[in-house]
Amino acid sequence: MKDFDELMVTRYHSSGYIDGNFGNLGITTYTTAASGQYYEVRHLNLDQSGKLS
Amino acid sequence: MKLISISLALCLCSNILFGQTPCSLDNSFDTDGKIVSDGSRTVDCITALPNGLSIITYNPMSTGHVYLRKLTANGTVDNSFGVNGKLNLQVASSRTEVKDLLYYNNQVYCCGTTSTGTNTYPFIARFHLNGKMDSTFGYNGYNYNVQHYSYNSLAIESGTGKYWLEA
Repeated sequence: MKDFDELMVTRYHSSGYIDGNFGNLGITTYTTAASGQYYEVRHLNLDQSGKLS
Repeated sequence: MKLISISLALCLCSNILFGQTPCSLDNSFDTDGKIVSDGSRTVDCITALPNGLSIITYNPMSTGHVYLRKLTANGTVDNSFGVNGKLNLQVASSRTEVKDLLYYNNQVYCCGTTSTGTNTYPFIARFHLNGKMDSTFGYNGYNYNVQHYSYNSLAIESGTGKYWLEA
């Protein structure tokens, strides 16, 4: 898997279109703290309180 | 000697009782516990459906598009799924690969990456349990986002049906 220095989380409506009310037009971005650091995320979990991890 | 004989008898009895040694292939699945299908492809995702059914994805090794099949509990391919037992999911022209697959509310969602050969995009798709794309979802069953490359993981809110994608 390719590594990225930026992690993006996108929220969609159940209709299949991006939920523009979330983050910046439906997308929120997390950038690593320094160059040479990369995210490698393979699984997204949504707990019962609605938090993502 | 008596202890050894009893131990051997217990081992033999356990095989007779359980019919299968631990961690061995389950021969009731297909004919030998495994399915070999669709050359030059790799199985990346599987999700369980009700009644022991499952959906499985076969990603292409190079160019091409992902195949999805539905299996019964005994490992038989359900030929009523898609076209002749297969959903060939193509988003962009050159390549489509599924990275995550979820069953929710009688429909199947998948996300991944797709390429025109020049540009690569993440995509999300939804299809019915009969292997037909849900045309009410996005653009004829899928949507994509030109701002990144791949959706690697998918989670669905059980209350709203909204879903989250990580790229």
